[in-house]
Formats: sequence, C-alpha cells, structure tokens
Amino acid sequence: MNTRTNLLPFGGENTFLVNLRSLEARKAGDIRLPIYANLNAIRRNPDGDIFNCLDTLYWNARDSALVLGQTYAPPDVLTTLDLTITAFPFVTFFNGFFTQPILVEVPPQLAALQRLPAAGQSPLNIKIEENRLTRVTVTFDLDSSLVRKAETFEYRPKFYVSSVQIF
Amino acid sequence: MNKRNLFYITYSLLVFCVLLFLAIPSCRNVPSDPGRPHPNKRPDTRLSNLPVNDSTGQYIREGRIPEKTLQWIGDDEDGFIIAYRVRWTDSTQIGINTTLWTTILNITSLGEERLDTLILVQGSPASIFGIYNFFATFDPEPRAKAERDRIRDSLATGRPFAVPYHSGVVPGDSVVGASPLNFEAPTKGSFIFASPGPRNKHKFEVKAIDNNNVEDPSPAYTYFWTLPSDTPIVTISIAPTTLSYVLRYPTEKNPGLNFAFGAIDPSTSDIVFSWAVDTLLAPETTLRWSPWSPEPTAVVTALDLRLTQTPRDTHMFHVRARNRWGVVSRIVSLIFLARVPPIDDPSWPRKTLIINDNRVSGSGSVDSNLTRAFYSDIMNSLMRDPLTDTLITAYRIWTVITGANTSSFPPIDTLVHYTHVLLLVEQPLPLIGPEVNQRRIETNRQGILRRYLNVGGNLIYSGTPNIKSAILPYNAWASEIFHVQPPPNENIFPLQNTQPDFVRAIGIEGYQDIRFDTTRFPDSVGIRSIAVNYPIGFGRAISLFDSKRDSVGFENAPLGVRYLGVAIPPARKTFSVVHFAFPLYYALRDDVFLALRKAYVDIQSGD
Repeated sequence: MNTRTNLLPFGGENTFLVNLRSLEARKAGDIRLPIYANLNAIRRNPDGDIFNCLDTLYWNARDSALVLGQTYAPPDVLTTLDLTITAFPFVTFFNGFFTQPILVEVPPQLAALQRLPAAGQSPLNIKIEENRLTRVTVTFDLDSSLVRKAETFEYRPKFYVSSVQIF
Repeated sequence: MNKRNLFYITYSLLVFCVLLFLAIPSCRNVPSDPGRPHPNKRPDTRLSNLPVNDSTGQYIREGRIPEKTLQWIGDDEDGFIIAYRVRWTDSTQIGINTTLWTTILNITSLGEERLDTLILVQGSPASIFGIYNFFATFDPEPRAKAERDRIRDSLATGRPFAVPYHSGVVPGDSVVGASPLNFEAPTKGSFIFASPGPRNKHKFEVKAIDNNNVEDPSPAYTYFWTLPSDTPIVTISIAPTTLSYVLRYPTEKNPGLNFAFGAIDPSTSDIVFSWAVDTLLAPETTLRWSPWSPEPTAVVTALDLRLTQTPRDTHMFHVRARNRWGVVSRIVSLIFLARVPPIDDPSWPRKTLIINDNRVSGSGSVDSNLTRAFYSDIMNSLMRDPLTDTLITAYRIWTVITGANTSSFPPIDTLVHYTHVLLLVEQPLPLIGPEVNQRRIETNRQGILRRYLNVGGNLIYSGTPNIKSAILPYNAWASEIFHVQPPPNENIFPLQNTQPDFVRAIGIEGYQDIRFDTTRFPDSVGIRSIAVNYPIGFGRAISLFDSKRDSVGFENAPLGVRYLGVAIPPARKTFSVVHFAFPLYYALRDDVFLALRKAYVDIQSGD
C-alpha cells in the first residue's frame, strides 16, 4: 500500500474498506491458479475477504504485511494476476474531534476485476521454483485511487505489482 | 453367304452406325484428356424477394419508410459461393449516386461458434478466397478459444482490422464487422435508401463470388421506388430562464447550462440530435453543430458561447433532429442569457472585495471609518508581503450601510470581479429594529454569495457573535459553505459560549494564535456569544477555543474552520472558505495580519 497524503492518513480510526472476492494467478494458455486466504483453505470466503487499507495494526497494509493469499504451486512461470476487488462506498476518518464518513463514488461501469499487468504492459514474470517461496507484492496506490472531489472521493483503482521476491 | 446372313450383317452395321451417330455428340464434351482440370464455371446470382415497384401501394402498406429488406442467393455448379457483393444507385432530385461495392463473406460461424457480427471485406484484396478460407477453417478446438474471442470482439467494435493470419499480416487483407442493422445474414440485408424527394428511384445490384475468386459477370438487380419519410418535430423542454453565469470548464459546483429537448416522429423512434450555440446575428452556416447523438440533453459552457453583440449577454441555442432515414428536422432556436464571470479567466488579477457589514451606530458599534482604516492597513501590508503580493494586487472596501435606513449589499455582478471576498460581520445584531433586516445575511444575500462561490470565488469570513441570528437561515449555510456541523439541540449541546469566556484562538494547521486587543473591545464586557464549530466533510479546524475558565465543551473545542476547493484541470478550482468564527477587528493587528496571510496562501494552494 502507498502512503497517503495528509488528507486521509493511515492509522487511528480511519478506514477504507475493500472486499477481495477472488485472487488468481494465470499463465499462458489460460491456465489458472486460484490463491486462497491461507495454505489450509480450500476456497475463498464466498462473501469475500474485507480489509481496511488504512489500518496499521491488524492488517497493516501500509507496511506490506497484509497477506492477500497463499498457495502451493508447481514450478512454473506465471504471467498474470487477477484480483476481483471492490471498494466500500465510504471512508471514515477522524478529523481530530470525531470520526465521520465521506462518500466514495464508484463509477457504475467500473469492473471489479483488476488484471495485472494492465493492458498494453509486458506480462509479469513470476517464477515459481521448487522448494522456494515466491512473494509477490501488490501495491494499491491510494493517492491515485481515491481522487478528491468537492465533497466526496471518486474511486479509480490503481493496482500494480511492485515486487517479486524469491526466498 | 446366303441372303439372310447378309441381311443380318447389314442390319447390324446400320444399327451400329446409328448408335455411333448418337454417341458422338455426347462424347464431344468429354475432354480429350480426362486427367486435366475443368475450366471454372462462373457463379450465378438471383434476388429472392423483389420490392414492389408501386409507390402508391408502398405508401399505403409501409407508411413512407425508405428502408428495404432484400434477399439474394448464389449458385456455383463446380464449387461454392464464398462471398457476395452489393451496391445500389439512388436517382433523386439531388442527383444520381452509386455506392461502392460492399463485400460480405458467406460465413456465419467461426470455429463452429455462431457469429453475432458478420464479416465485411475491406477494399479489393488480391484473394477473397484467402480471407474466406482463414475464417471458414478456423480451429474449433478449445485451445483456440482466446483467439476466436479476440476476433469476435474486433468484429463487434466495427473498426477495420488486418486478417490475423498465423503466417503474418498480408497488406490489403483487412475486414470489418458488419452492422447487424444492415446484414442479418450473408444473403439478407436491410438498407436505407436516400429519399429526399417525392419519388426516388433506386437500383439494387448483387453478385456472387465463387471459390476461384470469380465474380458473377451479370449481377442480379432490381428497380424500385421510395417515398420520403416524415420530418421529426423538435421541442426544447428545459432551458435557463434567467441570466446565468457559466464557466469555461464545468465544475461540480457549476456544471454548465442544461438544456433538454425531444422530437416526435411517427415513422421511427430512432432519432439523434445535434445542437449549437450562437448569437442572434450569426447566420446558420456559421453554427458549430455538435456531433449527432441520441442524448436528448446538452450542457453549454462558456467555450460554446461566441462574442455577444447587442443586447448584452444574449445568446441563442439551436437544436435539430435527424431520424433513422436521414431526414433532418427544422432547426428550433431559443434565446437565453449567459455571462462569463471575469474571475473565470486565470489571468484575471487577484483582487479582494471587503464587505463591511459592521454596525455604524448604537451601542458597541464600530465606525465604518475605523473598520476601513484597520483593514486597509492590513491589506496594504499583505500587498507588500512577499508571500501574498501576487495574491492581493488590489482591494476595495464596500460598506453595506450607506445611509439611514438604507443598505446595499454588493450585487453578484460586482462580486464576480473579485477573486476573494472578505466578509466582515463582526458585531451582534440587535434583537429588533430596521437594522436587523439591513445587515442580516438572509436568503437573498446568501443566494448572491452562493452564486459567487459556485463560479469559483473564495470567501474569508470574520465574525460573528451570535452567528445564528446574523446568518439566517443558518443550518444549510453552515454545512454547505462553512463545512461545520449545524447546531443541534442547543439545550443539550450548547455550542455558543454566552459568557465573556473567550480569551483567544489557539492556532493549529499552521495558523498562529490570535489574541485580542482589549482597547478595541466594544464594551467593558468583552467578546461573548462565540460559537464553536465542528468541521464536517473536507472542513479542517484551524483554531481552537481558549476558555478563560476551561469551560467543558469549549476549552480546546474547534473554532475556526477552513474548507479548500479541489483543483479541476485546466486552471479551475471549486470555492474555498476560511471561517475565523470570531471578529478579527478586535484582535491584535499583527495576529490578524498573520492569520489573513495564511488564509490567502491556503486558498491559493488548495487541498
């Protein structure tokens, strides 16, 4: 997760909730690898998994400690990540005196599916190696995704894969 | 040899010769070498339904709709039909026009999946069979599904694309998706024939192409007549009725001037509109029409307005409709009044209008000359200050009360010449008397200020003790302009400190503390009835209430609130407001200077 401007800081009682409904990795030939919440899960929560993007304690997205999913995978090269993720229609933040909601406008034609990389970019090169851990960090650019309007925010999601590490 | 044997032999020879004579013609067509290929036979084309060549009957039956559905079919004795070419010729009062040949492939599926959009061939490629063969033999297996989907998507866009041969692109081989409104099948199409006059003659031609790329040399054709359809009737239902200020680029607070219109056409509901804006004196040929669109609304901005001539600010809105058959309606026009505020020009000088709404008589009043001197001194210093010398290039002080029982609040046309307004309402209103109505920021004045803010103005507010009586009605103004919580039930949550308990404003968010100059207090009691203000939305507290007695609910409660507009490219912002929430006139001069300087800088930088 990116750092925010002073307009909507991380931490405290501030919330910006998103609902992750599915996470899949793909490779050439339309082969899909579902990624669930943890290694013991056999499916993802049908109602989705809800995260607070501004939390710094439990989910801790700011420090990239928020785990979207884990899975075992055969050695291969994955080229695409598909996130089906939606934002809640409000943010709440503490203005120094009380917590208040501000509406988030979600364009009606906005698709929930976020495919990484974006169209026109070169495919990801996520190598899965035997007996090794591959960590893919997805950055949710809040500065670009929540655009301030006169009285509300407008939601224009901006996700990208910021790093791929093999341990 | 006896006579009987001779007869039999002669008879047999005779029969043989007769049979030989009959066999020779049928053998004429047998090639001398049966192993060589036959010469190709040309395809044959026929129209399978012919329009009635009877305009009167057509008028009665079809209600003057110049659209025809035609069907055709082709045969090829020694092969199959891979495509058809169609064109037509319109002979009307305007002239004779022949369309180009349109080539449609005789393909209805792709890899065994039915095609929603049929395939037209662009231009004149070297081999139509090559294009046909690519699509007709497309891999039906699941492994090719992604490629099939891409081709189907490309056809659906209606934009030409190169045939995606696996061996690479061949220059000249391109296709485009056919409009489903025109081609239901490779052998069936519906077309609209230009019908401007009372009787319009048309010739429709179609020819088949076989698998050897050979066209039928004699296209099938038919003649028929069409009548012109009715003209749509346009009406304008929504338009500005009073003088409106309009910006060059729409903002959330000023989205432009809305117009709505509609059209009636008995022959079709498929209607598109085009609109334009011009002055009264512009001839029709200079109108800048918008592209045809089914949207029955228009938003006019300052960029659509042309220089006005007399009378001032008068413009004309024009709209026309076109139906499915291409018939354009009469132009309908409407006069409206619109003006572009000077502050919409990004190069407009930064000027401040100080509206002095302070009392000039009575207990605790402040002479307007004293107010003028106090703020002139501060404004002159701000104009010399390096942080604000470009933000305040000029100022003017407008005193609301100019004479006994008279009051004049600056009209909107004055406000829109100033980028900032400093509104001074620094003394409590009396309970009764004519002065109440003269100075109160009531509905009419709130409307003027709102219109000013919605075209991009900025407001700095100094005041007011007992603010809910000075600004009436207050609640909507509090939430929409000041961005503070409207007062709830005062009996339970008092927000206004009626005691002389207010010591100073504790600055936060980069604002300095503001202390009072007790020598300018209106009376020996001091400043009372100052309300705390809890920010809402994008409002931010800029100062805190310092209570002499640390009163619960007031000590360190939010006092002044700032709301900054959002930048809208290019070079626009929605309004900004800095509400100090107490009278600056009674504060120390240097503290007021610093506070106003910070306010101007904040407004300029935005959020």
